[in-house]
Amino acid sequence: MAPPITRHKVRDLDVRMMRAGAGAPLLFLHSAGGLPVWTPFFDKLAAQYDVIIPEHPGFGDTATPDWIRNIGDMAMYYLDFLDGLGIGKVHLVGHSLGGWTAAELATRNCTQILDLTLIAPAGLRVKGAPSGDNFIWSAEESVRNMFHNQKIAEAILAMTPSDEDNDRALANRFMAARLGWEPRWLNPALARWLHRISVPTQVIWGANDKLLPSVYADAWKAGVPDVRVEIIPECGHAVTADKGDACAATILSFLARS
Amino acid sequence: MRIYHFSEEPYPDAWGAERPSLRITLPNEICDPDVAHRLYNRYIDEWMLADELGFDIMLNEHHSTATCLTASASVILSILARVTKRARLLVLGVPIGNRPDPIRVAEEMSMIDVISKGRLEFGMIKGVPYDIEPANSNAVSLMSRFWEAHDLIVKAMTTTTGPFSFEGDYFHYRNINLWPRPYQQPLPPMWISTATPANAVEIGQRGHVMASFMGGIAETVKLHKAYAQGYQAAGHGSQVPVDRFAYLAMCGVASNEAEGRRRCDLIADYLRTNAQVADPFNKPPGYFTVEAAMRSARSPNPRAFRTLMTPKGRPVELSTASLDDFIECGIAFAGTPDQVFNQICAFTDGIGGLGNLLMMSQGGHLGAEDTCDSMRLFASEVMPRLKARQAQAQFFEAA
Repeated sequence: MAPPITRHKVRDLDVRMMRAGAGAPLLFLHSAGGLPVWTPFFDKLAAQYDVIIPEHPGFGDTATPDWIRNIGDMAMYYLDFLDGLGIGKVHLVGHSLGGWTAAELATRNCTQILDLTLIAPAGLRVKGAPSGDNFIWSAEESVRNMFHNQKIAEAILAMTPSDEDNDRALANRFMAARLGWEPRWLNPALARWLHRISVPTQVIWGANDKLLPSVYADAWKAGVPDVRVEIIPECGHAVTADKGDACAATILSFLARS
Repeated sequence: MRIYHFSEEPYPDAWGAERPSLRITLPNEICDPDVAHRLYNRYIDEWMLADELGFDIMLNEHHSTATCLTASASVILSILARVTKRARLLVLGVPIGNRPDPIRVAEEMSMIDVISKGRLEFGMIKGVPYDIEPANSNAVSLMSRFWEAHDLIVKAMTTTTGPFSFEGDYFHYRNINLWPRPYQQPLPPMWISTATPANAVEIGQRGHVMASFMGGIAETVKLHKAYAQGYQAAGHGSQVPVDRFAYLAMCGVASNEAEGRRRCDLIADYLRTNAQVADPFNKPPGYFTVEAAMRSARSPNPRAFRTLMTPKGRPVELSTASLDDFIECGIAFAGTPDQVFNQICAFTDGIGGLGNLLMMSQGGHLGAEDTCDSMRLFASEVMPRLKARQAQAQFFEAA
């Protein structure tokens, strides 16, 4: 069941977040789709960890501060966020845009994170394997191309979003474009600094990802020092929904490794 | 009144209702270089004729499209600066928020002004949504980039005392020192186009010429009033001279009504195909503010971008609109010289005066012979009467 929305203040920004479970803290950074729907995937994590999912600045109902203009600002912002939360070291997990943000954070400062889990992260490129373009896909393509399991896509397409849902989706798209429009979903400098990530890292990818092809996992494997890669078969970009059980099990086994 | 001849340099051989998009995704193998060669030279000939006939000249630019071969207005302007003799040369405009290097824009415009001996009218535009992708530009922050580029260009063109540096949010330069400086001192006339009252206020504050495109009487009056508000607030004067306003419409003239209407109808294919572009390119995130996008999404007619509204409140789909729809909306003038004169007078009286009529007298499928004949008739029969009439009303008077 979805936990109630709570609030956290970072500088002058009032942040919406979901928090549930007990145990060591696990900070989950969401994708460009916005604050996620609370699915059984999150229940599985919350059964063992104190799961914290903040809404990114500019997404949904959270305001866009003038001091966040690019992905580097996002990484520094989450270092501030962790300082303010005062809960010590966290397991850091990020999906897509959230994975990119988590990796940027880790190249800057790993002192507040125990380990890093990147689920189909944006941020890198593999020349010759261009990413899909979710800014240019039609609304229907944008949904269908997220999932290997088209039943999930069809269920989403069959729903009629409320005006508020539509407003949040517009805000999400606007902020996503601020961070990822050009260059599309990557920071050309990031690959040069992956060796700065000094915590154990797991990269999880859906084998059938149409947005960021799973071959991108090789680039992360080549750059991050202590890394393991898990490719989940029959799975698209929306890993936590498409193969939620497998994704949760992969994360939990990695977090329990020591 | 100044009357500008405008063409988008269309490539109509590549048009077709069956094509999902005439822009961005249309493969350029369809563009025959020989056809393009003939078209460029034909349109340049028409601008040269405009110069001889007493018109001024307007051009624009779009990218990756069969609707407009002018991918760089600077290229055509450079040619016209040399081959025309007297016409004002209006670019409307340069998409300065999409340009990575505003100083390069300032350099090119200064050169064109000097080569033409001070005939440049320098227009700046936000650019249409579907030019964001070809420009490799981010629509988020487009307008704040636009205004910063504007300020930088104005400063570069008016600074005469040696190098200066510029530290902005988007642009950073050392040693800016324009050679040549513009011919017109301190600055060529600056123009900005808009469709929103909020922007009109800002343009009025700067005192630039404001152009609006095919909005009809009601929308145009709203924009002119907003401009006047900014103009007066900034202390430019209590009354706005009508030479601060420009309006773009389509125009076809012939010695008989049916022929004049036929010509204008061919031009109107411009508007019918204008929005023929794969839909996602119409809505790059950030092009409209989040608030404006939310309002638009909740409006009963979210496809308003492709729809016109007649003065009586009847919505008209652009792709299928008739010539009468366009005439009713005040965006086409067509028929005999007398009819066209009367239509233009009714329009300009309706908006409280106009200093610059931007006339799409070539567009769509209208061929060279028809275009030149229409222009000649307009120049001999309509233009002198409009110019004589305009001399009596020098200031904007909102009804």
